[in-house]
Amino acid sequence: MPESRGSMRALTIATAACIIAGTMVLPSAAADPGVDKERILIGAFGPLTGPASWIGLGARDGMQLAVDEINANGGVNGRKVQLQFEGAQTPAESIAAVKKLVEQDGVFALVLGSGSTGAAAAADYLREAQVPSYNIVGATPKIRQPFSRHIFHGVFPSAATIAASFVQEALRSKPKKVAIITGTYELPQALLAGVEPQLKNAGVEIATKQSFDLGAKDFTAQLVEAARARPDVILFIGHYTEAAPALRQAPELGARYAQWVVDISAISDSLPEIAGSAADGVRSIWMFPYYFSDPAPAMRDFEGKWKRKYGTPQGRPNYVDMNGYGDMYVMTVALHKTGAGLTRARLVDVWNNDMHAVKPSDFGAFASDVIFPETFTPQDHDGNKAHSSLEVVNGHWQVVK
Amino acid sequence: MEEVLQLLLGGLKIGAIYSLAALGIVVIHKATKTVNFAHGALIMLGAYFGFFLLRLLGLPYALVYLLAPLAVGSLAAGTEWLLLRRLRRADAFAVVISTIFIALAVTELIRVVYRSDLLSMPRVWSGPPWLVGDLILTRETLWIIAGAFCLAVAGASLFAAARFGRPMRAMASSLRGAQLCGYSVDGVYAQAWFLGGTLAGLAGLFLAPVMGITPELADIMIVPAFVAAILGGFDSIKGAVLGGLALGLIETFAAAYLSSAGKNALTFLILLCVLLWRPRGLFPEYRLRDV
Amino acid sequence: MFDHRPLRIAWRDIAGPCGLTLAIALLALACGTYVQYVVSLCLIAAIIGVALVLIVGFARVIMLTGGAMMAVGAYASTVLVARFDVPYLISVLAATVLGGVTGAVVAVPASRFRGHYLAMATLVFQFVIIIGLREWPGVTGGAAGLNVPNARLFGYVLASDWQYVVFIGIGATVAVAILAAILCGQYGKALRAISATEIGAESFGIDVARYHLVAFAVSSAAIAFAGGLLAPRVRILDPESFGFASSVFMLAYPVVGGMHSVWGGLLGGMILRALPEALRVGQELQGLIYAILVVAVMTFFPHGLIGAMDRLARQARPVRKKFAAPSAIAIPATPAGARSEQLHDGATALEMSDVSVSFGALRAVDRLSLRVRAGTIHGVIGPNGAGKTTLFNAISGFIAVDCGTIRLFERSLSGEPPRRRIHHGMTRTFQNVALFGPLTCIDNAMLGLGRNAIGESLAASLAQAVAAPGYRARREAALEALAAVGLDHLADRHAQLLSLGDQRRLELARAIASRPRLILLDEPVSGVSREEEAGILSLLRRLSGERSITMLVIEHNIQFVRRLCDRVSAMSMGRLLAQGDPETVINDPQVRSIYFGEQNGAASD
Repeated sequence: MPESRGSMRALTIATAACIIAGTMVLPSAAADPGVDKERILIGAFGPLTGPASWIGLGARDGMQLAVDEINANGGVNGRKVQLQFEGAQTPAESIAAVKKLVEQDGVFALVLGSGSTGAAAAADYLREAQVPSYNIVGATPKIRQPFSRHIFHGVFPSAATIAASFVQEALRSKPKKVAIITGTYELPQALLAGVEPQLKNAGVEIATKQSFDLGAKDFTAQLVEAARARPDVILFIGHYTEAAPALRQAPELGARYAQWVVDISAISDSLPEIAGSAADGVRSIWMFPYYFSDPAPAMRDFEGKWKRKYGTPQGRPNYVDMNGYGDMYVMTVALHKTGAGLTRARLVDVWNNDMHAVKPSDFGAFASDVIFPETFTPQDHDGNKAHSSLEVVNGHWQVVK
Repeated sequence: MEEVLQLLLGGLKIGAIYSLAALGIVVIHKATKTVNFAHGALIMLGAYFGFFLLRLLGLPYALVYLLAPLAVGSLAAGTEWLLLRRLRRADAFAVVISTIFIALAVTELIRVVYRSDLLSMPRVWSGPPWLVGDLILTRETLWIIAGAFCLAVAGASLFAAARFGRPMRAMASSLRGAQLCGYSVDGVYAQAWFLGGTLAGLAGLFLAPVMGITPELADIMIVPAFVAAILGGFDSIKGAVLGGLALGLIETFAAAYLSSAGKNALTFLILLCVLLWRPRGLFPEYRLRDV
Repeated sequence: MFDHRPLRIAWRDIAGPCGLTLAIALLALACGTYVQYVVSLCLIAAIIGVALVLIVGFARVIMLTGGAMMAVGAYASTVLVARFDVPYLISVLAATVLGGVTGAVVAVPASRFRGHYLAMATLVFQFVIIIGLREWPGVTGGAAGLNVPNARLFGYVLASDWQYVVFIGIGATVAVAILAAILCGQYGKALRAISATEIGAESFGIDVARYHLVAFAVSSAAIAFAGGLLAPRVRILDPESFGFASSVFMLAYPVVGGMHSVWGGLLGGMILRALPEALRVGQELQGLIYAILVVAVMTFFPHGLIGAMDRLARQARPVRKKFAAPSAIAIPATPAGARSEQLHDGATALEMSDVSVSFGALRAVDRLSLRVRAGTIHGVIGPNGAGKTTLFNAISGFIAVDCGTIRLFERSLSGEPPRRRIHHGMTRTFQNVALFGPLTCIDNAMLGLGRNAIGESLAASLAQAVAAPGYRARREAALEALAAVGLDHLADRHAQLLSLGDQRRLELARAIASRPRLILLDEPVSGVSREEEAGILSLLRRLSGERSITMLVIEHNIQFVRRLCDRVSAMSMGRLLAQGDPETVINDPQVRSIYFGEQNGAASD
């Protein structure tokens, strides 16, 4: 019978829909979101798949390392910390992730481990929902504006601050002419918006501006044009997957005589590996006091702990691991200061007023101080504005004075 | 003037790699009338296989250049034999769509294993570059231009050669006729995919030291490969090689004299014009009269 | 007999999916806000799924501009609301129209191609549109993204998830209803006819280029509509999230659900959009699981999940066999003598004067003059390569003549495209049966009625959805044509399942449905059995007599020609060898020598 076929289809589809809906519906959240006698539930999200997965994975693993350490040492005011990390990249995914964390899982506070427009969309939602949130890697303006009493920013300062530090680094060698090679996608453009005017203010001539697309691998045109302008300094604003091939190509096209300054996303051990000797002397800025393999005890401890837990996969730990670890501790200090009567309103109060020069070891000596101390005021939620200078020496990045 | 020559060299270098990539697509299409949207993934696999053989197994580079492309070719032939053949019987239209999703699956698999790390491969031919006036010619550039070009020509000759290529070209003209002559469709299709996959693997190997290896290679290479194939006329072997070189030059010069957005716009504009007015490509192999 | 079937079809095919869409939206109201959010996304995906069924499944075009069209809808509606204070609902509708226009613009160059070139051309547009959005930061915010305000309907701001679910549910239902009406109605049938055989479609008045253009425009408009609905839910628009990857993911909807039905698009869209949320437990493996799932479904269920469900349903039902009885109902033959008295006054149905057709140096038709009298059955015979089929193709309009004129009932046919022939009263059948295989016999006959101009068919589709009487009349006319050839009891059988003899009859039914004045028949009995041949012969004579149809017949079967035709022309090498009544021509020595290879007029039959 034709009708029965149609109605059978409808029935099957409706059943399938119910089943799928069922997998997403969990027992409703507790009355007090994310806090009970035994645990504090912290939600987080970031890209776990795709080209930016190194960010989400770093955030997740770094945070989890800190959480395990905290719990092994008694937790926060007698409560264990539980981390729930969701993968999300695009705006649609990110909003779904935070809605799940906030509305279904009932987390107490949230950490944004993503830097893209996805994080910006989630931040928009979190501003409305007034959930205490901690943005640890996102530099782009849309995540940080408009200002919200409930949203705090960790290791990564705003794009404007990064741009200022970047320019400061570029001006170190007192250049007269500068060439800029920049990506067309979001973060480089945000940095460029800060870098250009500051260079002009400093009286430096921008001899040429070359651009490349996300994921570009061949820089013949950009390097030839940059070399032609005979700049003293070449600023490269892009990711290490772009900076590395560009640097490698630079000597072939006569563009390596100049001092190269790259921005933070270009910092990776793969850079000197791929670019070889062309990477020596390249400088950058670094949001942390130490680089990897630094002999400082804090760094040694951190790397040891990380490798014991996660092994030695290629390219890890990366800076997001340090970031996640350190900032998890900053949040924990805030939780601890709030005391046993833990509510969102109280946490936000503490964070606004009682967080000055906070470092991980404030919580316990077992914590490694791999980040700069962070300070928050009611008007300024950018926890960290400090940076150090990095240079590639003999094929390895090193902090320089 | 040196600048133009330098740009020319750069354009030819990337163009030679595009030629190899486009050639693989055209070979598969000529023989099986299938557009292989998984070609970018095959190129990426070539790079990863190379990395695995060279860095993890420690084989010499020459052996890597032999084994890695063959591995990719075998994988491509296997995919055709196991998956696509079955699909083609049910619905030929679906075969093209399925190559898109096979590419997705392969890329995701690599992402699970290797994350998004940037892996490096050493230069094939290292040593000081040659200086001609102000022009810098590195050994690597020479290797890529000469090596990729020669291999492309070799692949093209193989396709034209009697024992290997004739059945493919016969099937391209008339499937039924070729079957009646005793050629096995399945066997020939598998061979075509093998050759196409091998060419893709080679492209990946040439690409790896220059660009570094990430899973993004699949998405990055698919568009230039197609554009180069179309520029050359989708069914022309000679056109694929010339189309690749042409695209490399167009991209490089456009990026130098326009912005990068301009480069993209120009590339696609040229592509659209070719599609509209010279659908047989800029270098057609034969002229077709409409009957 | 009052036929209730059209009404039932309308309800099942249109109200069913709409009902399900609305039901899911309402069901979500009972769930938490997170689920409501995901259901909103799934409802939007359902619209896209059905839109893609239209363009990918029915029109057989691999359209890779899905992401870009969504972007057009999302950005256009947001810019109108945020910048120009246009009310949200109007902005979304304006964005829908813009999407349709963009789709039409893509179609114009793209529909000159078929197959892979078409896919590639759409790929070009996908990239260009996204790059354009990215490089226009003044309007679109560029790579940094564009903030989307909450939707405002009639002064009321939609703020909570359940409100969005209701609104999007209604929007999705409306979109699915319109798309389903178009797909299940005459337009969809014509589209499937085009995918079956473009030449056959053109011969019955279907303007292939226009249909493709409308397919692009309608599906792009629907996807843009979905984008407009999505924008407030994602809060920020950025070009990369509508990139090529998203087009690929959308393509999976009809592929997994089933490309050939509205249900398939609906199911595929909703399941695949919900999948990443359900796969959250898989964390890093999510992308891989998704891709493998799609490949697995494609490999093992080539017709999608709906196809698999149908197959299961068919296996579960008790099989009712149609027995191998003589398929077509035999119709009593007209006695041989009665024909000649019905010859008409000598009006000319078809006149060809000095027609020549060359392919390069080859003269396929060489200064041929032929006159077919109205009401007669005129045969054309000749060896292979004589130019008979070329002649037919020239008369039908598929090939241009180099010189000479062709006049149909005194009207010159030069310059007219093939699809106009049916309006002038001429239809044809084909040497290799060019039926619309995936469609039923009644659908084939209905398309044969010829009112297939794009406007007419869209209007008819929408009218059919509300079961207007026009549809019923057309169906009756088609049934009548089927009955005339003895196939009315197979009206709902798919054409590709018929035997060859029945297929040739169906082609005839399709050809007579529009009450033509002239039919071209290209080898109407080639490959059929003796009995069938006799049946078709008497059928043709009856049809010609009863309906006053002139027939021009190509055949190799000399006995058939002898018994059927009033006049015969013999061709060889593009020229006319002999012309006259059948016996004379067949016994003409030149004809015998060329056709049968005889030298001395020795009889052979």
